[in-house]
Amino acid sequence: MTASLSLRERLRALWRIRTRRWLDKRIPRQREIRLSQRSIFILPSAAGWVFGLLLLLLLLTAINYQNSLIFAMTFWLFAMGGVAMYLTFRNLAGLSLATHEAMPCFVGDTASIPLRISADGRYNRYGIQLGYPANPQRQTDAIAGEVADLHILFDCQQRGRLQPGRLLVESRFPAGLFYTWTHLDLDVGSLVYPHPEEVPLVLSAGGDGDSLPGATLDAAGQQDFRGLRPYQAGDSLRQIAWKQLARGKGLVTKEFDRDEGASCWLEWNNVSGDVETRLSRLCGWVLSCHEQGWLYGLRLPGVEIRPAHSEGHLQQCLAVLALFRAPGEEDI
Amino acid sequence: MNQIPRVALILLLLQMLATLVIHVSHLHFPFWLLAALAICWRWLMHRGQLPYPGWPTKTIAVGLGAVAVFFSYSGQFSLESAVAFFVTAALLKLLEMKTRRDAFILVYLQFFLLATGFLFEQGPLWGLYGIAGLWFGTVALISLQLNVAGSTSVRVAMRYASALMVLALPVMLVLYLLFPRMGPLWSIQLQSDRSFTGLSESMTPGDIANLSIRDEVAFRASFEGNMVPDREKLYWRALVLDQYDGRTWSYSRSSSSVQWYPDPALGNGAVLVANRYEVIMEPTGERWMYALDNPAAAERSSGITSTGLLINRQGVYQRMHYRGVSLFKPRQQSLTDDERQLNLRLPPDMNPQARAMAAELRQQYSEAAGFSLALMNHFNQQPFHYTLKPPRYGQDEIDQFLFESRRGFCAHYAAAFVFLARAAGFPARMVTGYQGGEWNETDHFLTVKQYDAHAWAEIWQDGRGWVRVDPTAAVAPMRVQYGLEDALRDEEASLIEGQTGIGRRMKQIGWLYDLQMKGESMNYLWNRWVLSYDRSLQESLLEQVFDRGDYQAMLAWMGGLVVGLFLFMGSLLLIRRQRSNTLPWIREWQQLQQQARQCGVEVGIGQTPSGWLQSLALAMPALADDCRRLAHLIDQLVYQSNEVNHDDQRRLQRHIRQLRRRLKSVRRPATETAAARHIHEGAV
Repeated sequence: MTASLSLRERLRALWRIRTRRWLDKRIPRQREIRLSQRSIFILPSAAGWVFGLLLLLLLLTAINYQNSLIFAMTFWLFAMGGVAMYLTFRNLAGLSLATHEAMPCFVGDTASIPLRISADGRYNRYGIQLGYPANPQRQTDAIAGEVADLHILFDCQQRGRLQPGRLLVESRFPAGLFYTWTHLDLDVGSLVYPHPEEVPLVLSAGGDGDSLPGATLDAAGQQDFRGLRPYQAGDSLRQIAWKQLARGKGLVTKEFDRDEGASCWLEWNNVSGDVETRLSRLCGWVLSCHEQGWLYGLRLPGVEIRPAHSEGHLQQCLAVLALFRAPGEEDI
Repeated sequence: MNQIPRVALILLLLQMLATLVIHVSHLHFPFWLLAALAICWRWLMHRGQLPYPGWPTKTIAVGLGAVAVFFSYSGQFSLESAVAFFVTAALLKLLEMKTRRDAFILVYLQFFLLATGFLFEQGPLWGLYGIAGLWFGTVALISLQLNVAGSTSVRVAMRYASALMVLALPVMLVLYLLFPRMGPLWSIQLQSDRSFTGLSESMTPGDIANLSIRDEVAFRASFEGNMVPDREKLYWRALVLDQYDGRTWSYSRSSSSVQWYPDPALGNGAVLVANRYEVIMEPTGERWMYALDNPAAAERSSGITSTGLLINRQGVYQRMHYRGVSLFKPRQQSLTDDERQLNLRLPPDMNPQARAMAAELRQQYSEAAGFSLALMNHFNQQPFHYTLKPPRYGQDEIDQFLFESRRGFCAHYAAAFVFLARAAGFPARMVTGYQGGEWNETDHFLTVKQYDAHAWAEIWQDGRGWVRVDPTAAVAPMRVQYGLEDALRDEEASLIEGQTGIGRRMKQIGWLYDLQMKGESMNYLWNRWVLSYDRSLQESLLEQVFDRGDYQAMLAWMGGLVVGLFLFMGSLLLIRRQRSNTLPWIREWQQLQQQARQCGVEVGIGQTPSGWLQSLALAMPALADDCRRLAHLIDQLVYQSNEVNHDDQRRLQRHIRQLRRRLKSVRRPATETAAARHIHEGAV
């Protein structure tokens, strides 16, 4: 914190830290939570404050005109406000929310975090809004005794463990006079991989001639020519059958069998740039190596994963890329 | 998300119409047109057939609304024009309503309009209408929060609105009964400009006759211990008219000073009180109140004038409840010279015949008592007629009445009496008010209607003070004993509203009469306990129920009630919370899971107990045996038998507690972070 920060900003930051700490203690990170008075907050909404003004106006009218019926209506509305407070609280109380691991995704993608909502008691809950801050909200109702599955969207901007922050669950039902909410720290527990950069993977040694710095070839595989197929957007230029094009037969792509047995090392040192750029490029390469069926290994400072090819291997490599020097993951 | 749901819009449009209905008695026609226009327009906007109004349209609409309010109430600032202004505002808000926030404001405006409707309409049926309006408004308010399909939305909103109102009812009643009913915080200039029927401050003798055909209630009264004075003594005084200009009787403001509450006549405990009664008075827009003879000021806002009238500090614009007290003795023992002058003053050179007659009588009677008795005899024995339709009298009206036509209504007789008495040198004055009323046997109250309006005279007798003389009693004794209707001939009696042929015959049919009386009773009870529930009633209720009547005690009671309510709710919550997990072993199990969570072992969704115990065993190898044993036990007891009996529950609880203890002892900081585990799992 520098001296240039004004006292107000400092106080605000301090306040934020204090409230976060307090919240962490009060509503700790959980996979599943049943909302109770411990985790539910409630305050009058803006409409509720205006309702208070209305009550005041009505009371003044009743007193000054000595009108019993207006007195009765004022008190009835006031009491209804009180009941509405309880009913609004009750709309969230006893609601159970649970999450399980979301599908991993890449930076820039939108993660859809699975959420299971169930309502206990004999009454339905209406107008529940769920959403992460600065992300789209969605509204749902929860029918008593039933379980509903839905997905909350979260725009992933940060590589590493998916930390969407606190899920805001709010409701104004029934009267809209009160605003009840809770901030849930749901343990989503999935990973956000680096944004895969679409740079064609080039083998630096071996291969079929081209040598741009990229991955170090460990062992060459056999690339058996299988045939030609029409060009599809995204096909590598290297696979285009230029001779066919020259003969005026249009864009055709040469298709090879998988490079069975090709093996390479994807190395930190072979890419340049800052950490995120390097990880992005490596991530793209991991994906394309996996797609092409090669054996590939990953070498990052302090981490080495031997070449292999399997779904599990892919996950492992991506996990390493996701967590490498990610915020809050100092121990790797 | 901020859109107004379709259902809510429909409800809001209907509610708009419903709130206007309560203002039907005074809202001018252009506003109904405006309402229809706004509601249709808004509906077409919703259908997409008309665009939302832009700012030019809105400006024009606001301008037109203001012009409409100004011209239909001719620029007068009254309660009616203020309400019309609010109605216009609500209609314009309806037009430009786009978001949910706008809808909230509209609902609040509608609630407010509904409440102001009670300034004009207060009958029991309007009360019910108000409840319906409140309910409907709440339904609209709730439907704003619902995004489910139409019919479901209405059903849910209706259910919740009913629940809100029913649950709120007890609190409302407590507040209604106990909330301190203080007087107005400031005097309001904004009053209704409607005209009230009733007596007026000045009177020409024909006025009372006009009033006497009105069937409206003037006031209702009940007596302490049901000690109702005889009907002949029920003279409710409202005004003393002591000035006469040859045509009109009026009252002189200059002459009266007021003794405000607290009344010293009631101050010492030894006062003799002839009557105690309570009156619920319909609004008159004037300051006078109705009281029997020799009144004393028993209400905070009331006072007694030097002419012996009960008056209020402010005009009575709302139905008012007050206590009345009659003393045995008149408080005025002597007449000042000014008062004597005032009550002897007559316009000069008028009614020479009457003056001559007065002089002649004065020769015979030197005492006021004898003089008035002689006059009464005169009225009784000469062919005088009591009629609602006297001829029009011109100049020297007293002479014409006394010596030519001899036909008149109560005010004519009273006027003639006062004139003669003054001409003879006896101070006298005219009094207007009501005489008699209809006694309700079932609920013990007296209903006094406008056709009970009456005028009589008071004459000063040395040593006795002002003495009431009612010349009408000499002419038509039936009027005083049974009421106007019986004193008149049939064709005249049918002039009275509600006393037409059918109405009169209804009175003769027993059960119909009973029904009418029931209706009257309902109105009376409504007026007594709802409309005129005020500070004095509140105090007497508190005295009856809690044996104390001061506000401090009441506030203490209210505070106590609120605290009690909170305690009750709190303990309810606590009990319910504990009851939610009744089985001790399940609670133990939850605590175990909580404990394990702190060591990094989470509960997966849909994970069985044994599955979870396996993952616990993996994370804590030292506990593997315990975990396996517990898993086995749970599988055996919970899943293989139909019901877990008490002993098994105890056993389970013991095992789980044991595991918890072990877990605590082997618990170590989770060095292996979840991240690292992730990688390892991937490598498997």
